[in-house]
Amino acid sequence: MTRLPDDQIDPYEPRLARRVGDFSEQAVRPIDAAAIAAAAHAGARRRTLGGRLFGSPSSMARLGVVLAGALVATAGLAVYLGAGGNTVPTATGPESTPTGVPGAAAACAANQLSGTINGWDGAAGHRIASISVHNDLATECALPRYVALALVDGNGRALLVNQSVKQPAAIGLPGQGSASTMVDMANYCGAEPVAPLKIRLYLADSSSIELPPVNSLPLPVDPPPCNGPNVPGTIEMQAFQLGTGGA
Amino acid sequence: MIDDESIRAAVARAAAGDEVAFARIVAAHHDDMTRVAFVVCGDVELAQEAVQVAWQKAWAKLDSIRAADRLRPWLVSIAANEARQLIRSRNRRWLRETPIEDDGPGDARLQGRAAADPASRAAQLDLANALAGLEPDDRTLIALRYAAGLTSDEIGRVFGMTGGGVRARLARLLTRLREELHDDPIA
Repeated sequence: MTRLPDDQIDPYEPRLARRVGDFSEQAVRPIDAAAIAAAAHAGARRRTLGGRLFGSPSSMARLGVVLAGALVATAGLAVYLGAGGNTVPTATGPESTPTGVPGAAAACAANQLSGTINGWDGAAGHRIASISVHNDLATECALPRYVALALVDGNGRALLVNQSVKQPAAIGLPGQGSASTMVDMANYCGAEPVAPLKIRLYLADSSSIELPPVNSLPLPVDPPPCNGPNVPGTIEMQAFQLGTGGA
Repeated sequence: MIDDESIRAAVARAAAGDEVAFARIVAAHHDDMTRVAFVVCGDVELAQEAVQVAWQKAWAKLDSIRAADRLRPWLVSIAANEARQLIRSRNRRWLRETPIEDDGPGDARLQGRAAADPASRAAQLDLANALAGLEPDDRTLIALRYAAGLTSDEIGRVFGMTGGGVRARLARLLTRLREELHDDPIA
């Protein structure tokens, strides 16, 4: 609800503020902040380039909006498909990531991948992790852009799980190459987890790898705060991109 | 709520191209921007589109923010301006969207809204009609003050007015809205 500032103008203000606040609330929807940020980044680059080349940013802005919508829709679909809870038992992990991988490269196997959590940031009610995976072999393998994933504690107990990912496209992960992405987590209301927290990626054939935090992280790797016991816990990812990430 | 120090750090990192830091800013301010854009344009989809464009502009110009306390007024004013421009570019009048029926399952806020009693719905419709009768500048003023909670000085910086000028203009708008909404002089 909107806070009315201290410099009150009229005794009627609080009442009008309540009415406007209630009225405007109908436009508010759940968002995927990471997806919006990515779309804004991409859109801003297009705006800048488009403005320089064509001098007309409005059409470029529309493209950015379309991209933003697509990203949010994709993220929303991922959330819908993979809405996990706070009470996911450790004995039943999520489904394996489907192996529908195009091209000649074989699907990346757990024993050829390693990875780390390279960043851990707190947002309003969220935690956003920057992760990367590395192909330890010399041969290319196919890495699904989206995989089933979980936040697990030091004992391997799953705190948040994205249950399933359907028909993901794949990218070719070159030998000795890396891919990176961001993982957004929210609303963990369970018991105090055992450190260190890790992110588990489920690959083909029910294999999985666990990504530990790098030692240089400035902030503690803690679970996302509890926003309410009746609000589902979520963990969702953006698509993997080749490279180690960064700005 | 993110404190000023965190905001400063997030702005600095986002201005340097850090998408995760920018996502923190999005998470903290997106809802306020949506509320403001909606009051300005009266259309949920248009408001959301305006905010998406606003985030692109914010990304491109984030390095112009020098003080953490200027971030929020700056962001909501961008959203308000984008909402106004979208209405103008599409030759649309201010639209009102008052929920009459349930929008479907899956969102507690929507479900709560749909459960509002008929009197609340009527009150929202009255407010929608009153806002529709205002000039875009005045709706923006109302949005920044009562949807975003900006002070008169913060609004003044957005409009290029003094805080006193904003207060005088808001006082006139309050009188008008109180009459149109048939609200008691003092709640």
